[in-house]
Amino acid sequence: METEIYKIAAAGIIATILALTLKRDNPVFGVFVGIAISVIILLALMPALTEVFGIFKEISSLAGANTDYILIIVKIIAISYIAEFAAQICSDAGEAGIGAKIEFGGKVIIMTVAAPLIVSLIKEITGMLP
Amino acid sequence: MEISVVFRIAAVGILVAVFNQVLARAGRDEQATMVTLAGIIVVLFWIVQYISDLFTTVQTLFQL
Repeated sequence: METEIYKIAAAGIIATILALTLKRDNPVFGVFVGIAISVIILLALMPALTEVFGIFKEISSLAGANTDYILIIVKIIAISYIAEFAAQICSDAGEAGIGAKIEFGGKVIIMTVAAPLIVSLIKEITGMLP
Repeated sequence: MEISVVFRIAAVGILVAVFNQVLARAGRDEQATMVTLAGIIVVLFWIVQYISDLFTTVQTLFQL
C-alpha cells in the first residue's frame, strides 16, 4: 500500500503536463484532464479508505461507543469528500464562485446529517449537569 | 490506477487542435468549430460516465 503514492504522484504530474499542452488550444480539455486525473486518484485511494474505516469501526466497537454515531461520521466524511472533489475542479477551471457554492452546499448538507449527533450530545451534557 | 482515460482525452484534444489548424488554414472556420464541439461532446460523455462510476463507488463504499 505504501508504493501507491509513487503511482499517484507520477500520474498527477503526467496529467498536469498533458493538461497544460491541451489548455493552449482550447482550455476545456485542460479541465477535462483535471477531472479525469482527480477521479483516477480518488478511485485509487478507495481501498486505503476502506481499511481506515475498518480500523475506525474496530476502535469504536472496542471503546463501546454505539455504532450509529460512527455511521454519521462516515457519512460526513463521504459528503466532504465529494464536495471537496467538485469544488476543487470548479476552482481549478477558474470558476471559484461555483466552487465556493458547492463547498457551501456540502457544509449545509453535513450540518443536516450531523444534527441528530449534536442533539444527542447536548442531551447528554445537560443530563450530566446537576 | 488506469491512466488510459487521461491519454484518450489528451488524444482527442490534440486531434481537435490539429483539425482546427487544418480547417482554419483551409478557410472553413465553421467546420473547425464543429470539430471542436464534437470533440468536447465526446469527451464530455466519457467524463460523465467516469464521474458516475466514481460516485457509485463512493456510495457503495460509504453506504451513503
